[in-house]
Amino acid sequence: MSTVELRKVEKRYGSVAAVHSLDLAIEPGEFVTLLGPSGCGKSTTLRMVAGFVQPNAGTIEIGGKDVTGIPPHRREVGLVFQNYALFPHMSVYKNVEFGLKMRGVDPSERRSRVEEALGLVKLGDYSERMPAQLSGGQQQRVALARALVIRPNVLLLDEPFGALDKQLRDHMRIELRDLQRKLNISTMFVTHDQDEALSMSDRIVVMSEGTVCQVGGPNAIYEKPNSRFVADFMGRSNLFEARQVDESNDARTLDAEGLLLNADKTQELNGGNAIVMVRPEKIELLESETNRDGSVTVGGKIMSSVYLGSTVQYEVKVEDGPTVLVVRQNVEDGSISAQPGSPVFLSIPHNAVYIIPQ
Amino acid sequence: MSQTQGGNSKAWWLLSPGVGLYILTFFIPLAMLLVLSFAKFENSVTTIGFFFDNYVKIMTDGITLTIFYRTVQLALMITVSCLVLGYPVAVLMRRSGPRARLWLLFFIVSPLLTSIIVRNVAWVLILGRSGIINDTLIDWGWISTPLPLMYNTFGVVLAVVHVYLSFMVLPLFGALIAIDSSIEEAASSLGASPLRVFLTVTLPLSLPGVTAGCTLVFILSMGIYLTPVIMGGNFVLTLPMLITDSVRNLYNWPVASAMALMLLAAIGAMVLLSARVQKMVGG
Ligand SMILES: Nc1ncnc2c1ncn2[C@@H]1O[C@H](COP(=O)(O)OP(=O)(O)OP(=O)(O)O)[C@@H](O)[C@H]1O
Ligand SMILES: [Mg+2]
Repeated sequence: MSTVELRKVEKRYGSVAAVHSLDLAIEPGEFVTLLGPSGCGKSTTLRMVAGFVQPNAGTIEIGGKDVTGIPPHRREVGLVFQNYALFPHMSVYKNVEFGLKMRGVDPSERRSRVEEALGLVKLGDYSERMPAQLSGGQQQRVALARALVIRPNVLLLDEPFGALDKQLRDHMRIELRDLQRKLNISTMFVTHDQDEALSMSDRIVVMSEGTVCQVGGPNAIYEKPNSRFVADFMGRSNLFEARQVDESNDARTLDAEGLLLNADKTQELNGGNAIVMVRPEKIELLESETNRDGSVTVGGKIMSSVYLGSTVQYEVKVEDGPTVLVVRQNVEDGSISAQPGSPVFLSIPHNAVYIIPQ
Repeated sequence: MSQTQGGNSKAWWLLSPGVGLYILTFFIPLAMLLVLSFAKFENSVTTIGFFFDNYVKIMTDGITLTIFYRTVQLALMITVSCLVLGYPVAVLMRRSGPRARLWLLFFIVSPLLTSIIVRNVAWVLILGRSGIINDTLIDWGWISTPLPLMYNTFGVVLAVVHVYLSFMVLPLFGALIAIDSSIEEAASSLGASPLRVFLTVTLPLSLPGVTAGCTLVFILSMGIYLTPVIMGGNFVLTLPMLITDSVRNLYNWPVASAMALMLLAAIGAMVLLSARVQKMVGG
């Protein structure tokens, strides 16, 4: 039985559908991320599960119980907001205790559970502080403890780390994921940050304009996007219009806007045309023409290079072909001259060429 | 740095008209009141000095103290009525869209746009012995003798609340709109019913507005004069009426000054009290 199940859920604002016929199930203990550009309906979906938004159609089940139409305070969900939303007039302790009080848990049990929850987020010593006396990261940990202490069926988080700086965000990711695994709590996480989604999720739900584009593990979403939109949204990619020009036993030769590529034949090609994706970090830059098995090598010219610290990003114009984005690790003996205008060779492995299913 | 400081010290001069006006209209009259309240008034002659006669008189004549208590009581009734009636309006304004909000605001503030005389005469036409309400109810045969809707405390409170409601609603609305609604949603998702969300989150967080509104309305209500004259018809006496009487009919400025300071003391006490409440809850 799924912890959360949405069936054909629909939410319209006027004539605009914020969420359109959405089906989604979250399994016990699973960490599912809703990912998509701004305005695609992530928050609306989450708020429908929490009960703050009523769907126009469809049903929502939590813990096997139909909760469509049931108000938020009777739904057993733990909610964490981007702006923490702590009760500013209550101490950390009172904040965490709140949900237990509302449930009529007796005082001695309340105390032990609050202390346990604050211990989980490593804030045991802060229980008498007021929220205003805590840093952003600490406040968000209190919010997490407050949501977890009621032992909800599902933990819902709407861009919980959006207000934190990058370093703290990375740290909180790991902490949340550890905690989630430890408690084995089903989690629905909303973000528009693909790194966050890739690093934390069991499954990612990529959304666009109120509909689900693709559902899958981080690896599948990144390596095998099912549409141009997903490929484009998930990190940087080279996308070319391609058509088949030759075919052998185990490979197809594709003409990608003037660049000849070999792709594994296991990938289907409907009609003669397709869009192919090559991730920029899978392309190798060479100073001289070196032919390798299972790769194609083409010549080009560096148009620009952008230094990004751990990586360097190049734009290479292929002779009579497209401009290709290449990302290389910034290893010490980087023998490639980064000067724009330098001639280079690109080595593209067959298995780096991915045909996007139409 | 020194540049900006120099600029700032020059900017202080910009305050001088305001400060001047303040001294002229607040400190000088206050000082005059203080001096006069300790003067002696005998046989229509005022002698400046340090006498306690006026204070002894208002404490012991039996009537001043009674009317002072009634005035405080009336002001509290008006304040509480404004709070009870105004809070739901402020909540409604917070929940409305911008258009409806503007209409509500206009509706609440509109009594301030009419003159106090016109307003009170209108109330007489509505609430009077043969006003619209009594006439209609008698016509329908629901009552046989007119209801006492005015010339009593009820009439005065109603007419004053009508105007002062806006001074309650505006600070309340300001406090409510400042509450992040996700805080209430958090409470709700933690299992609080709408009533408990209100009692444990919304109400405590709106207290700055409650104390501001109550202080404002109380101060204004301690000074009502014309409305009790018209709506109370000499059945409802307030300290400002007594002060006016002392000055106009008895020419006794010293005793009037002592009464005015008494009024001021009550207002001061209210301000301190609300600051106290504020501090207790707000931390
Ligand atoms: N209360 C509302 N009234 C009208 N339209 C709304 C309302 N709430 C959301 N919408 C619309 O629904 C769509 C989806 O909104 P939603 O907040 O779910 O987006 P989101 O994916 O969370 O975006 P973001 O990443 O910016 O938070 C948007 O087009 C938005 O304008
Ligand atoms: Mg959102």
